[in-house]
Amino acid sequence: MSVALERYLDVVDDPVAFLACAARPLPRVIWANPLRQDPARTAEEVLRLCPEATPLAWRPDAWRLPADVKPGRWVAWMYGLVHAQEEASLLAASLVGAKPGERVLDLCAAPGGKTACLAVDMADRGTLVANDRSYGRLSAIRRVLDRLGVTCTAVTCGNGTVFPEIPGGYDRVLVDAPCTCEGTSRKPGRQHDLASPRYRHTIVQIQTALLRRALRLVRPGGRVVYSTCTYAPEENEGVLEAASTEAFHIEPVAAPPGLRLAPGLPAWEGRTFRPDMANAVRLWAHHNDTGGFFVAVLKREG
Amino acid sequence: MRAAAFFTPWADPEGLLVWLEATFGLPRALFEGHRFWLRSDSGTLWLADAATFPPPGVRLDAFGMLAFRDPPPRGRPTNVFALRFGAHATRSVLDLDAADARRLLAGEPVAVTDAGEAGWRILRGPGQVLGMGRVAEGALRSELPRSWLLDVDPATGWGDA
Repeated sequence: MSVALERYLDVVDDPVAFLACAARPLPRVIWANPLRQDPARTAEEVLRLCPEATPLAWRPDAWRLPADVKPGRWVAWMYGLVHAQEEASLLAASLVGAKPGERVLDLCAAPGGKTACLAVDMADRGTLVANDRSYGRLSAIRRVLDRLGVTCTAVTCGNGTVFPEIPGGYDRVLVDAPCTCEGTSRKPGRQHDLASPRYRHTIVQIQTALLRRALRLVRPGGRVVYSTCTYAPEENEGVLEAASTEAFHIEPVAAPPGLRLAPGLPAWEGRTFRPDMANAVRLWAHHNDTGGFFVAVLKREG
Repeated sequence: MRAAAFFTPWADPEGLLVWLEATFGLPRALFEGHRFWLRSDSGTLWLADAATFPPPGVRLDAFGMLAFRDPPPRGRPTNVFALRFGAHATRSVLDLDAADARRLLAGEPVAVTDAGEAGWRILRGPGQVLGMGRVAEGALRSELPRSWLLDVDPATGWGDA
C-alpha cells in the first residue's frame, strides 16, 4: 500500500475501495486523431486490433483498452492515427475547451499528451505554444506532435513563472503543474513514498507562481485550467487559494456522461478555502477507474 | 544544448510551391492555409498554420512541422511532411500492396518493377501514406527513420489485405 495515500483516508468516501484501486494497474485509453483520418475509419481499425476496446461514454472517439494491450506497437500508432492518454488527463485537456484559431498556451507541456489533445481540439489552426522549462523533455513533445501531424504549435523552452506576455493575452492557458504525482500510483513503478514537507513546500511555491503567471498571461475573461496528478490539497486547493491575489473565479464543471466528479475540499488541516472551491474537481481513482487528478477551470476577471 | 534559434518567413514560398507541384503533383491549394518558415541556425524549412505566430521573448525549439532539412531541389520533404500531405500526391509516388508495406516496416528490402527514374518517392500502402523512399539504380530504398521501426509490429497493419 502506498504510504503517500494514507493521509487522504479521512476525506475519501470509501477508503477501502480507494486503496484497492490505487494498487491496480491503470486501464489504457487511446483516442483517434482526426488530423490523420476520419475517426469512424480509425474506430474500425481499433476494434479490429482490440475487440475488447470500449468507447468512453463522454468521448466516443476514445476507447478504454485492457491494461495488457500495447497500442504503441500498432502500425496505426506509428502513423499517428491514435494517441494514448490517461482518461483523467484527457478530461483535464478537454476542459481547456481550445477552439480553432485561438491563442492557447500550455505552460508545462512535456511530455505533450495534453498538448496533442489541445492541438486536435483546435483542428490544428491558430497558435498553440507548448512550453516546458526542461530542454531535455522538449523532444518528447516534438515526437508526439510529429507523429500526429500537427502544424499549429510553437515549442518553447522557458521558465513558466516568468513566461513573456503577448499583446492582447492568450485566450486559454493550461497549467498542468509539476507535482508530487500521488495520483499516478497505478502506473507501473510509480508507488510513492510520502513527499517530504520540504519538497512539498518547494513544489507549492512553484505551482503558485505558475498559476499566478498564467492568470496574467491570459486575456481578461479568458480561461485558465489548473491541473495536477496529485490528491494533495496543499498542491491543489491551497495553490488556488494562494493565487487569489489575482482576480478570478472558479467555474463549475458539468460532469461528462459516465464520469463521477468530486468537488474541491472546503477545508484541509485547519485551513478553509474560498466558497467557489466546490466548483473545482477532484478525480478519485476508484470513482471512474482512472488515475487520481485535480482540475480547476478559472475565468480571469477584469 | 542548442543556442536560441529564430524563425523567419521563407523568402521564396512561390518557388517551393512550384517545386512541390512539379515533383509530387501536390496542388498549391493544399498549402493555402499554411506558411513556410526558415530556422536561422540550421537552415531547415518548417511549415506552420498561417495563423501560428512565434511567441516573442522565449527560446523557440520548434515551429510547426519540420518540412525540409535542406531546401529543395537538394533536399527532400521530411517523412512527417509526407504523412500529412502525401495522400494528395500524383507524381513520384510508389503504391505498395499490404505485403510490401509490411516488409518496408520490417526493414526488409522491397522489390519493385518499373521503379522509374532515380529520385525521391512518396511511398503509400493501402489507405495509408508510409513515408519517403528513394529510387536509385532501379531499386527502392526506404527513407523511413529507423527510430520509427523500433517498436512497430508490422503484422498489426492492413488486416483486411
